[in-house]
Amino acid sequence: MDGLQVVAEPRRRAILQLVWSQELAAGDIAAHFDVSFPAVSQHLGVLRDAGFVSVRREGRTRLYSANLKALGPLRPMLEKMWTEKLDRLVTLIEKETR
Amino acid sequence: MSDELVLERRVSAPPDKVFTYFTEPDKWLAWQGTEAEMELVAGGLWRVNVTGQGFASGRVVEVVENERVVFTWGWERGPAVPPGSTTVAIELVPEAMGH
Repeated sequence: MDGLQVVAEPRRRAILQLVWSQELAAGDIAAHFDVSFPAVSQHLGVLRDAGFVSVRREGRTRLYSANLKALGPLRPMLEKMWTEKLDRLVTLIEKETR
Repeated sequence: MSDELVLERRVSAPPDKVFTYFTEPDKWLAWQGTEAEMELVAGGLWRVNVTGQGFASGRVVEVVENERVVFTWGWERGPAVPPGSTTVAIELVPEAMGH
């Protein structure tokens, strides 16, 4: 899954927002949503694999927080987006200028 | 973010013509988005409803007629790439032959 697909899912965006400025255990995160714990856990796994959240172990608890340097995984997404838009723009300008 | 992404394109059109596609809402919408607001002064609001992706917005940093437009950019929804987290600088460099 690329960065865009990872953050395209609304619940994953909500989770990311939740841990943006605080460290939370999976259970605390799950308590904010009306879906099952395994579902939240799966989203956390996807966010972690993509590098958007970091995990720190404290005793038996795993604490999640947003990885604020994570624009890295989004770089290819931004590059793809601007490339497509610029290509469309160049085609358009040349068509209208001709 | 000190990360820089550079994209270059050659366009067979004069710079003043190309400039309008970055500064006039109607022209901007011809290549991306369904609604656009552009206050073309330093500090002015820049906001576009990007087709299928929601609002992207930012602040205008610099405008130099027919040469340069700089604004901050980011998605309003969701914490990933929020407004202000990236800066877009558009530079138009004319080539010989007037293009």
